[in-house]
Amino acid sequence: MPDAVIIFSVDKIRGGITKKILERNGFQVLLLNKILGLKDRIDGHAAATVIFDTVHCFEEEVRHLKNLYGALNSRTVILLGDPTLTEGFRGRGESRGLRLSDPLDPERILLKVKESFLPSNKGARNSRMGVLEDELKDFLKLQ
Amino acid sequence: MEKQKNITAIIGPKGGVGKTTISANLAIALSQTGKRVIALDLDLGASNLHAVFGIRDSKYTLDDFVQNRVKNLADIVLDTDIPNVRIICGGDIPGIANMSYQKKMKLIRHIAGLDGDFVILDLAPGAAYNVADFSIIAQKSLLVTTPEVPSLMNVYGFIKSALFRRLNFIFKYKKSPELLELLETARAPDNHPDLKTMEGFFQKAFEIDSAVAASAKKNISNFKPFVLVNRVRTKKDARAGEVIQNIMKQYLSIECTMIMTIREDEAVGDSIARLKPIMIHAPDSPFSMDLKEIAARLCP
Repeated sequence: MPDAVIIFSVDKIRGGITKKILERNGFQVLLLNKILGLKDRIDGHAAATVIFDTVHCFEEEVRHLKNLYGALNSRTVILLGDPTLTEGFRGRGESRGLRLSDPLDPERILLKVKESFLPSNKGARNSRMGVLEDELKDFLKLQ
Repeated sequence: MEKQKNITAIIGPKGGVGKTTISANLAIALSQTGKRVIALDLDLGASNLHAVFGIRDSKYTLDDFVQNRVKNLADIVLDTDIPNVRIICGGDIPGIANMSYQKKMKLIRHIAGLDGDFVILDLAPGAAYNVADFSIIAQKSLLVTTPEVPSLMNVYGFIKSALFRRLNFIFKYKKSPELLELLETARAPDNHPDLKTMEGFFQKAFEIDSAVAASAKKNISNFKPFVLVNRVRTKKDARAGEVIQNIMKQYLSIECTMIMTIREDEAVGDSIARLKPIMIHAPDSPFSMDLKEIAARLCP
């Protein structure tokens, strides 16, 4: 059973481009472009990853997405759009890495979606050894 | 003969990262987009690209070219069972990995003249001069690593070695002994922390000879590799590409064209055991899907 993703985008072209690259890489994609009934559609779907494309959304749509963002705790949510707008999405312990600014970069979105389906490392706590870049610089004697 | 414009080098400085498996299957993925592909095994002395294709007895190998039993490299290009994919099997005669400079240059000239839409070079592991020299002739370089520190270290070491070799050639060609001396000093920067980064090196180089330094800087700025992180299993693994990209940018002034990940996939081992390329044996597997995406990125 392929991994499933839901995309919300009011822009059919942007949504279509993102859908196409994900489907080409084996993901099952549901593309939605109406805010009405969005929560019910997401709740009724098995997708573990949801993409909210905020570009060209009206203010009311953005408000609705923000409310929904905080409620989808069991899923990974990737935000697309202007950082000044996506920074306002709160209510989760999400890292900044799941906010992607314009221009639309389908390859980067694909990378993040693939990453979202990978398991998290167990035991990678805040120890120095858990930080790959520091480890690598140490071994390469770059610090 | 028109010069080959789509030579792609598959570089995996650490052995066992999956470079040959990727080379063979990427050739197939490219062929499936309609391209005519030649896969060339340049892992001299340890050739095994043909095994991934399931070829047991090859009529010709690079040994025949190196030992002058054939006149042209094109004479030893072999068909495979896969449409649009041909192969040049590697050589295993003792000493082939240390062929003379003249033979290497002859081989490079013939590689450039091969008739195909894509020529995939499956290079040997390590950072030997031959590997660096073969990679220089490629228009695209795909650096294959796994997410672990030792592999990432080897990637960094290879890039640094290749950069220094290129700069060495340039400074010799431009007859600049002072810059050659600076380069020599930069090889061991512990006593010269200002030479620890490529940026720091060029600041000094510009003070010595700005024209040559500018030319060298422009030359190496054209090197923008693809980074492929293979055998990705976790979220942390997936970020290894960004980590090595950041370090290469900060210390070597190298910007990667793209970072792509290839997921860990049990089907790979199964395909290898069956001596069948995974793109044929399991075309819908995660590994195959990821290779298809990489092929799509490489096509102009």
